[in-house]
Amino acid sequence: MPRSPRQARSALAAAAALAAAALAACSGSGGAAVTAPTKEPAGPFVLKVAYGSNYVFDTTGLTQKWWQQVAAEFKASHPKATVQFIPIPGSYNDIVTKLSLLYRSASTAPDVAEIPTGQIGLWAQAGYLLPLNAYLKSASWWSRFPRVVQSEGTFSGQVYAVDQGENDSALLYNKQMFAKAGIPLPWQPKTWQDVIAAAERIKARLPGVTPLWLNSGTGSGANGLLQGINNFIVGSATPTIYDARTGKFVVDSPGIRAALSLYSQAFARGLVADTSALFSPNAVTTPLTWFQQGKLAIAVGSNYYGGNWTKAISAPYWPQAPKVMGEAVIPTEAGGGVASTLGGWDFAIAAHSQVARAAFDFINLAENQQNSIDAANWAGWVPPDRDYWTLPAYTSFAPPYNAFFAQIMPHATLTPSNAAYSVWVQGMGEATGAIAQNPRTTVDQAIAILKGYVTGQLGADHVEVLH
Amino acid sequence: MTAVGAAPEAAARRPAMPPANRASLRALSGQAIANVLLAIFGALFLLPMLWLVLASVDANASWSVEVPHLTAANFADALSGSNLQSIINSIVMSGVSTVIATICGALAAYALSRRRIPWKGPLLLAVLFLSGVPLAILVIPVFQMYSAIGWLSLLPCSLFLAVTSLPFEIYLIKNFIDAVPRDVEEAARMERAGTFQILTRVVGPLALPGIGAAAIYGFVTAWGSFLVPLVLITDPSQQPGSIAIFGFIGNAYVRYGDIAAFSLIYAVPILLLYALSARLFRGGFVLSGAVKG
Amino acid sequence: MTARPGAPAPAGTGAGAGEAPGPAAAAQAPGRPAVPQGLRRDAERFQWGSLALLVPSAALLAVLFIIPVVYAFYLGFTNLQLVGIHAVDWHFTGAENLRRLAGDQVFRYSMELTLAFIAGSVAGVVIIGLALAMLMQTALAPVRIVAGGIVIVAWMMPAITAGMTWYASTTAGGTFGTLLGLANSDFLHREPLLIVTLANIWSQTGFAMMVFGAALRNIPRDLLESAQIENASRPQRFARITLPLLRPTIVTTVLLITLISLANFGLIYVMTQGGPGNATDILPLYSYQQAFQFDNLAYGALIGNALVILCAIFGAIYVRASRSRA
Repeated sequence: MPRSPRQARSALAAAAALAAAALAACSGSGGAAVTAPTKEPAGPFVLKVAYGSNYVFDTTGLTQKWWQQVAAEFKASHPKATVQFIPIPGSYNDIVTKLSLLYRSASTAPDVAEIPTGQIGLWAQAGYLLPLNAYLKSASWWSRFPRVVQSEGTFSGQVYAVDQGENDSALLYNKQMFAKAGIPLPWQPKTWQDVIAAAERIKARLPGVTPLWLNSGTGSGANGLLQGINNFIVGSATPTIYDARTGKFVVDSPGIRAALSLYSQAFARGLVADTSALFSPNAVTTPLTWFQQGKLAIAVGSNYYGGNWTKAISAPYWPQAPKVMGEAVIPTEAGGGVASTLGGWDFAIAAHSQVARAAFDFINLAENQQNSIDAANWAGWVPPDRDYWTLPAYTSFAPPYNAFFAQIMPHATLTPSNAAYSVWVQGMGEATGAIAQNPRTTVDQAIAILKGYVTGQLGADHVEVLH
Repeated sequence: MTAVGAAPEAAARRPAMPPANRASLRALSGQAIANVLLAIFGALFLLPMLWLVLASVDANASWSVEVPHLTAANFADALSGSNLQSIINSIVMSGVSTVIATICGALAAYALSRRRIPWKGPLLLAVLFLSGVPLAILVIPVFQMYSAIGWLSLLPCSLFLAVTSLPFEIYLIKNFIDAVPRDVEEAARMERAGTFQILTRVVGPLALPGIGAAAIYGFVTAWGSFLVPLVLITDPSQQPGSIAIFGFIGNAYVRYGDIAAFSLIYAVPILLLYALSARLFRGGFVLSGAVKG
Repeated sequence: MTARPGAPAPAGTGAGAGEAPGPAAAAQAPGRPAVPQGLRRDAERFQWGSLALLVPSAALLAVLFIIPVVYAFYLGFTNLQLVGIHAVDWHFTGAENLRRLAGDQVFRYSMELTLAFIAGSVAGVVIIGLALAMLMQTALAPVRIVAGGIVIVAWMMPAITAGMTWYASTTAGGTFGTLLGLANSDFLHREPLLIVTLANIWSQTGFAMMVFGAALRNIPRDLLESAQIENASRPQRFARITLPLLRPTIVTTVLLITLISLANFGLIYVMTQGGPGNATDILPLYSYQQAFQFDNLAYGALIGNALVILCAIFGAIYVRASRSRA
């Protein structure tokens, strides 16, 4: 290979060394004494900001509007700055690919980047990201983030990314169908069996309606698990997917078995949609349309449904949604409780950014009340700052869903953020996919698929069984 | 397989042949069969596109094939914002890439077909097989090169796309030049024509169908490419249409109707190119007929 | 008649120029005096003028193709990650990835899938493409233009669109199911490999049709006419004249369709992402999955290397086949 990659590599090595130095500086001096680099470039400077141009927000128009709105405020307080946007088109994988390549070279790495929660750990490990602890001391909003949200960007005590907005999960159901099936409203299942029972009742009373939506298969990748089976696993007695103590992935546990057993029951009784719908690309968005068309009764769904039905987003527009659609918390395996996954998008600063202070100022503006709530409404998120959860600007955008999902967030559980998680995702996707395709697949067989795949990819010394 | 040769057409055009009646009768029946079969093939190939057509005018488009709730909004969306610009970018990207690959490819193909070059056979095949390396992997070192010299934009991206289709184009064109009789060239050489003249006036026209096929191959490959422009183009206003399609696909929604409408619009330039090339091919055909006459 | 039916035979091997029958081209750079006829044989030697023709391609290929390929080949023996611990801090790991590959069940399965996918795609594309090209020679202009246009549109469709339209057509509520009276059949997920192969045939046939169409135009008409005068039947004419003359083009097309089908994995990615399970996870997809989903850039590159070797084996078989029968 010619000089360039080596150059890039040495530049990155330098960047990594810089990050390590910064890290050592922070931890060495006990934190409090460290002041964030306050130096603002004296002359004109460029701030490079990378974001997903179509995938993250609900429309491309709103994406542009939001980033330009933050940039305008930034320009007002930093007159010498030029904000250079790097919008990245494509889906989740494309954004991650392009971002990771941009980071490989010091000259192309964006100062501020919007990265998915599940990737923070990987980026931090690579030495691409700047620890933000020192900056966050001056940020009033940070202390109002729920602990779980703070922890998503924290690795070995260093905060590498701060949340832009979160997705969490709950059960959404058609109240009119429930009334027809004679299920008392409002519905709040106490156990997983209650969910199955309600779906069975729908199936018996309302033929032609798909009773239950459970994301399954590999088609939707990590998103499918986030809005699917992981909600049950994190709500089980053994919620661990990645065992941080041992550094191993859990491929068999009572909790995973319980969740797979729920899937197996639901599919065996014909309560779930067919594979044509479940395995489609972007299957996770199908319930939105099916609910609107009156084809679906219950979904293990996400917080963004309500926003998508509003006129502003129209994906699809469904003004009657608040009258028709009820919401209920996913119970834990033990009964009662709140089970939900958590995942969203975050802001991070490049480790070697020459304008780190300005980059943080940009993030600081992005996290202010107006911008944070706009982002939440336009991208279908719960804002991370708990002070915003009750503000009408947020709650009245998609009532009653926005307020409801905000209440779930502090109880939600994060999924792992390391390279091998995507292997586990593939294995679990194949396991639930096998159940969806052949409902006679037993829990043992599904576990064997998960275990076989993850062990085959990571090696036997990187997996474990919990009892 | 139904093998309907070229003969009936030839016979029809030359009515002076001795068994004229029988031949024209056979030609007629052969032509009828050919028309029916071709129509069936056309219909079969059209079937999967039915969804595209229906969804493009359906206000509630989804995965299913349904009677559409007619709307023109999808086409309006498909042409809104920067989408039209993206199609122009596609034309520039694919056009530049095709011109580079076809000119370089034709020159090399001629040399490889006619000149004595040591190891040329194994060399050509080796280059061809190396294109088995997935583009996704190949694009990474190229990204690093390009980013080091500040080349992450439309035209350098076209250049890389040209290079990715170059092995194919060389191979394809060489195959067609091999089929051009050498004595034709010889005759031109007697008249003291230079290599350049022989290429542009003799071999080029005779191999035109092949060169055209290679050029269209290069164009189509660049036209549909996604990962290469995604990685190698930074400025969003330079993104081609194959990437613009993703503007209709988000985390929480898929605008099927817009995708379908955009895809149909995106097919138009290629169809024009095909129509144009069909004329070109016919020209080549007449010429070759004259030379071979 | 001036064309020699045997002339194009060695195409594809490329090595035949030296022993090519008939007078050879005595080329020279433009402007230089023509080489006298008596020197023709000598002109078969390497000429510096050839270099001028080769330089543009050779330079482009060397810088933007060979170097990246060699680099990608090297990456296969490192521990480079897309992101993660070994994204920056990576090094040569020798045969470690090879050992992993040897024991990788998914890879082995993926290899089998690839062979089946290629065999099906190549057979389908070549046979249908040739049939279409021949039918187009006879058919009336309107039929020819419309049918040809449809096949070409199918070919030029970007993978994302082609994949979506095939997904919509072959799952429940899709065109095929509805027409066959099995509206709720999910053909795609019941016979995933078959359907993605069909989709690939659909999306590549236009190329073969065009190449065969161009090649058919080069078949001297008088050959077919004289055969017709001798009362050879249509299948006879096809077997004795058309097919032998087309052999080099067929070999070329088989080779190119193999490579194009492997490069066209975006189509499968949109339709199934390699699933359900691993049922359509052909090698290029598995390479992509390892490199970009699992962040194992190095291991993905190694699978790419394996793919090159597979291509070379295919190529050797094709070339041998074309030589032995010529």
